[in-house]
Amino acid sequence: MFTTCSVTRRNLLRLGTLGIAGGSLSGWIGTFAADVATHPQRKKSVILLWLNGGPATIDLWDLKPGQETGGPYREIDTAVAGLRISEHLPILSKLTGDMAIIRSMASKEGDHDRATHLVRTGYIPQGAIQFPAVGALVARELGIADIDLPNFVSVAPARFASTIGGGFLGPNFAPLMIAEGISGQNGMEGDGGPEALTVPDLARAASVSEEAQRDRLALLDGFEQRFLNGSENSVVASLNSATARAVRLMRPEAARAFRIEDEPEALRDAYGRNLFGQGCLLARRLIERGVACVEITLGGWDTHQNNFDRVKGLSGTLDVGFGTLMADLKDRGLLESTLIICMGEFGRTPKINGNTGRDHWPQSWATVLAGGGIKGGQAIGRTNADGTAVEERPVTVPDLIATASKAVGIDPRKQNMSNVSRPIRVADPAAHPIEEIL
Amino acid sequence: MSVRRTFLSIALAWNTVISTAVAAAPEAAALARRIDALLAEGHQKQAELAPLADDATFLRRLYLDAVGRIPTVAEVRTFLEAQSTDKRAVLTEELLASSASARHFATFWRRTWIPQADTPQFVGLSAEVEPWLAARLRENSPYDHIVHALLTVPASGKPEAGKAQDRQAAPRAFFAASEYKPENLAANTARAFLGVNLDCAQCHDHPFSRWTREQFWQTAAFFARPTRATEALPVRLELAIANTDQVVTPRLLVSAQPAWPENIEPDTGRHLLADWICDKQNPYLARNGVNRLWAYFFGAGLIEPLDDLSGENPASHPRLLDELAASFADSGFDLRFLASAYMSTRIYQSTSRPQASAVSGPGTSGSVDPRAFAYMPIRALTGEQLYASLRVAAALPVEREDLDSASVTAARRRFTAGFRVDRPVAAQRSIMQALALMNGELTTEVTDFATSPLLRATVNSPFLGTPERVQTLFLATLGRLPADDELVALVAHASRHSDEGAAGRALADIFWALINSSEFNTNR
Repeated sequence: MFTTCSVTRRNLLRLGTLGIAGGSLSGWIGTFAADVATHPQRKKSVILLWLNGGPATIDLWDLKPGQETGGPYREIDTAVAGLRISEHLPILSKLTGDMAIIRSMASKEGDHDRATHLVRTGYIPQGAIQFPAVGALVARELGIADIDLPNFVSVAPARFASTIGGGFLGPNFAPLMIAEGISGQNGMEGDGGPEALTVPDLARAASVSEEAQRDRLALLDGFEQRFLNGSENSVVASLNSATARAVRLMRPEAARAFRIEDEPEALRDAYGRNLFGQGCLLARRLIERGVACVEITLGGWDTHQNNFDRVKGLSGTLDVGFGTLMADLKDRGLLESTLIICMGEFGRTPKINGNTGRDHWPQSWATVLAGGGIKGGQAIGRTNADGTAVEERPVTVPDLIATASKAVGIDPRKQNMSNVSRPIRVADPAAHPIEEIL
Repeated sequence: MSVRRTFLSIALAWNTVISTAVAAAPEAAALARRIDALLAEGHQKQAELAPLADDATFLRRLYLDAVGRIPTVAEVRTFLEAQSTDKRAVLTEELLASSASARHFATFWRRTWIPQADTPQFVGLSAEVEPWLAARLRENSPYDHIVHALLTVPASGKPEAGKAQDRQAAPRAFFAASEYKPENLAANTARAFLGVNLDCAQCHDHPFSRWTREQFWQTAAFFARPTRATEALPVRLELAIANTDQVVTPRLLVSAQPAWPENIEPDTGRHLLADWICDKQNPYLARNGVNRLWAYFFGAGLIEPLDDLSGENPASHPRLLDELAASFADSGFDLRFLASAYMSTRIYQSTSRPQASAVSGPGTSGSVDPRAFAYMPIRALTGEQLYASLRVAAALPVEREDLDSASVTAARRRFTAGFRVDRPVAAQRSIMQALALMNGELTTEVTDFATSPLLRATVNSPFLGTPERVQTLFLATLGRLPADDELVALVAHASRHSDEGAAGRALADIFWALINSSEFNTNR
């Protein structure tokens, strides 16, 4: 690789010791995906399907047919006797054996930003504390230190949610963001399409040849060696680590993880040829290569107007993407070790407004957990007849986060030091995991 | 006695270096000497003071800290060649008085006071408040006046349609970032201007500190809307504690209370609160100001966390903090004086290499407590510093928010948002940032001959040999000349090919590696 280097330069640069030039191989690098999936060190992974805008869960998971609030959809039977969901989720209806539908979520936050902060971090906004996203906590606890790929990847994050990242855990646990801001927000369904699923700045500039790239990295390695010599400094260590990891991500083996075009056409079709569906496929590729947490945003759920037409369309996208993801993970023996969480920031009013829409409703809503070794085939909690209130077994956001944490082997009581030098637990201390799911 | 004698010898030795600095800013130099003296005791007990930084290291640090960018090649050459003994002090004063410095510190104080403006929700507020702050800093407005103005923007009476807002008038950014909610305003005011963290007291009595929930809501009540007068009761300010039936009225966190006027106007509460906050006797205003600026220059605050001056966390140097606060207040809250004093200290002129710890004995470097302030910390460049420095390195004009077109400022904002840093001393770089710096738009622009004036000029100057070209790249990026072994190796690298094109490419490769290096990306 460095045969063109002069001896003098070789002495100066002491090549490769930092790994920036791409010398070192870890146990996880370059192994085939199948090997990673069955690797004895493998921990669990999390996939978050984020329904941005507040999904009308009364029209998805907890229908109220016949009620004034119920809307026009019918319920259908599922693989689990007595458990019924929307007619517009036919694929998922066959997979409920691996799903737990929590129908008794309740929170106090009815504002998109505050509610998103709560659901995505487990805490309401508190002054200057930079709470990390749940994905960052997962990346920290379950991530692999020397993996080529980032331990947290966020596909199509909406603009506000994209500010929730590593928080006080730092940029090492911030998500690698793909197709940022494309999934739309505030009810917009702008969809960049599958071609938007690229890592920004992953490829070197067109004007830089492969040889020039090698020279550049070798020179950089030399400068780093010299600058670091003998000193220990966290800022410099972080710079080095990020550069080395970025270079590794640029390696063909790692960059290939993002090549969904390598998948069979039939499978790509099965996931749905849209940003969300292909994002789910990308999530599977990343999870099987050892990535700890992937989140995919499906925007457009802020349905103040024309709720039923829009939710029907969104349900189709969700059903195809989510359903195929579960089936595909199961086929590969990965569903047991991959927890899927499907949720938004709150539900929508049972009352149907004058625009055939539903408004914000944090008082009673539903979330879904699937795979990850949880006890599927059940619904948790219950809302009242018209869906306006939780009637049985209320579940808070911290409860849900504590449940998900325990499911994947993270102690929800673990404390991390925050940016205001106060320790903060993974889940709020008041949280109670839903034991019947675990 | 021996401690004092050693201190004296340090101080005397140091005096000879900055003798004329005293002439440039006598009060600042005197305060700097006092800081040196109060830190020196710790340097005897805890850690050996790092040696003086060379001129090149100092100059790059000075530019980054005072004006937010690295120096140009010409600025480096001029400074390194200058012979005067007071050149460090003279340049420090010059830079601190510049417009560039006012703009740079406008960003610093905006981020300290209104950190919300770094989030997409409130991003427009920066453009509103930073030019106003820069104008105040340019005219060296007293710190307490600036704080008072931000806290007392009229509660009602938005600027009339079609009528330009008074350029002197403080923007409403601080209120907008708090969503005009009394409870947010109370928490943000205490944190930003007093260094007091009341957040926990919003919901419950703070378990570790003296503030109660009632006190929190009494502070918030200064921002409440006045009630309507009834026959039974006159106009008053009152606020219900969230999720309770308890109603409170405004009350300061101290025992003395303000004198309320007969007539309560919508702005009365905030004015009384601002008067108390900005009173010279208020212990928190000055302490918070000197502590924040200390942390900016020296990496850690004299008290940490920076927003917890309530008394539970002891200062690393209590006497120093007291004296700094007193000097700051006595100076009429002169920020330029304070910055000048900090930058004239012995510690600011040190290298970033920790020496042996006096406690653990020689040969144990790396274990020196950063809060002994015995060496300068290595700090990451902020997004703003990095963006400006990349352009300076490539000899492109430094962009200015107040002069540039919207598309230019948008590109700058995108870049700086991607490289946002809250505490430069603890900054961590992400993979995405590293990719952006290696392969991104700005890097491609500054490392391309077609768009990089530095590379074009360096390659096209027939009077420069390869060694001089390499040296120019070093001066442009790291503000120093390459060491002998670096020069030999890089000249060998650049001379591998005889044709001009390949030699030019080799220089571009070196330039790329330099701007991606940790040395370029840090302020050491």
